[in-house]
Amino acid sequence: MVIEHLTKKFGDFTAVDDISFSVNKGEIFGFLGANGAGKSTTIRMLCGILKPTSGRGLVGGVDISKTPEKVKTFIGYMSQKFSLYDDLTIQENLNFFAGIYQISNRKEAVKRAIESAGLTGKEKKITGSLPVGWKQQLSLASAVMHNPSILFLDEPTSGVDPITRRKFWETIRKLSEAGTTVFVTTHYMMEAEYCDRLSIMRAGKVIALGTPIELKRKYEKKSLEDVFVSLVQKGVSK
Amino acid sequence: MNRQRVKAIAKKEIIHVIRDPRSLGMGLAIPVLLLVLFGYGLSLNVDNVPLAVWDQSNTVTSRNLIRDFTNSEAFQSAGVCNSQQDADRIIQIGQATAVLVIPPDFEEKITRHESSTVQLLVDGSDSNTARLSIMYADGITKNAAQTAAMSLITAYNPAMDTTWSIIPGLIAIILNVIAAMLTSLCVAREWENGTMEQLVSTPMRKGEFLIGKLVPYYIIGVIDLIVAVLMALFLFGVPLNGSLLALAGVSGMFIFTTLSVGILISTAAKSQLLASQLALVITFLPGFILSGFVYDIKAMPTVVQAITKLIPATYFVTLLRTIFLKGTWGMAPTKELLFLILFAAVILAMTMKKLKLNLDGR
Repeated sequence: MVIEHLTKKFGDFTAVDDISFSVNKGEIFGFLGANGAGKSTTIRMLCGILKPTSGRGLVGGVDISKTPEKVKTFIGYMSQKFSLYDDLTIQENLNFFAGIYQISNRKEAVKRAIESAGLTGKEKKITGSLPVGWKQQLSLASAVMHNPSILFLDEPTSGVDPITRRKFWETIRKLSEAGTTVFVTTHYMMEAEYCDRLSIMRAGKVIALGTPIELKRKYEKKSLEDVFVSLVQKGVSK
Repeated sequence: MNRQRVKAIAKKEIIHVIRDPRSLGMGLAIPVLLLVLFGYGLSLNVDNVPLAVWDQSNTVTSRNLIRDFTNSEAFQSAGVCNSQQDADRIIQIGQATAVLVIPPDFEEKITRHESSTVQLLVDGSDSNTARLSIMYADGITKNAAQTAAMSLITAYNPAMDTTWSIIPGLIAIILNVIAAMLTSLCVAREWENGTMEQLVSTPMRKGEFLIGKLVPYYIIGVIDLIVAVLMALFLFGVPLNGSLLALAGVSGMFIFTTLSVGILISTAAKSQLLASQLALVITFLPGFILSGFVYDIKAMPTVVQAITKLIPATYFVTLLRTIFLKGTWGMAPTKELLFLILFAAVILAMTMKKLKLNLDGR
């Protein structure tokens, strides 16, 4: 994944301002930043569902401006806001997306997804009635059902209890080991530690990039949280 | 176009409808309710108009004519009068809605095979009843005048039963509104609930999305049509003189056309409330007022007449009346059917253009 001078403007407002970075295959790439820093906008552009105003982005070697529909065939996307169908059951939601992705052995794939989300026995429950943690597990299971080579997760663990969060990261780690590139945004600094590399965004710009160890060393802080706070506060005091 | 995807979308849409009692009610119960309400309520038939008689002739021939009037279902006897003042008074106090005035030389003229003019004074304050009374009276006198070579027989609807002409038109109007309302929610709902964000991240194509969305509502529309036609035939006793195949073909095309209008509205509006209100206004008002269902198109100003030609309901009202009552399937319906096909094609092309499978258009 190669991103060069990527910019997105909404009218006068520049949400993403000339960012450049690259992500390696099989890497867990963390995207940190305060609310409104442009994380979701970036992720949406990379998924091919938002057109960049300028700049270039290659995802899996495919240009996101020119052929976004091609990008969509090999990525998985879990949006920040839960966006499966509340009035469908767990199984019906998974059946639907299995159909959309034309998964060949649908029954088997749906069964595996339910198992991996730890929702066995709850297949017939209406999705809208589920607790947040289960919903997020279901979203993740649905997003990886078609074995995407690149996975985009936009704050997957917000509002999730610590135990479920740990399970989430175990799943992410496994996917990465199996060769899936994972691009994940988060608020939790604990989670940032699990990432292979991190970038920190502020006001639409990438202001820091490196492995967790590199970042801590560079800014002479003991924890990533201190690195993050000092960088973001610098922006506020400016 | 991938069948598996279309199937997945259609299946999901069916579940939405089944789980939402309101949309199911709108799709299936409301058409039946409307047909019953309007079918009985909108009847333009006139029964038992109170008729007074001023018989200046007072002969066998004149009494025969009076009997023809009072024996008809349209009129009932409401007394006699002997002067102009008397006739005026009877109408004024509402004792009679119409007064039949027969001239003194009535019998003489009839026996001499000449025409004689009888007068009908009608209370015009209810113009509809007045108009219909005149129409009925006209029919009765023409039939009664055995000498008249020109006896008028009303074609296609010999009893002039307005239920017969109202019901086919009513089916058209109801399907018009219901079909557009059904699809008006289906795209806007995806935007409103945020589920569109997940959908656009998949490799799903526009065509698959639209067809998958249309299929379930098409099924509901066809069920509505079948129920409405059965009600027309067996509840209201409207004859089906034309072929069932023609009825199915024309209606099937019309339902598709209006579903497309609904889906275009839904795609453009992106909010369920706005979309459903737009659908109601766009389909119901022109359908009711301009389609020729209630008001005669020939009596409209030229500009308005031109507008009526752009409304699918106009063609459907005409087609259904033709198939039900005339039973013909000549050149004209083909033209109207072609219009419906063209209209649907244009609407769907606009929808394809308006529909964006990304978040930029949000």
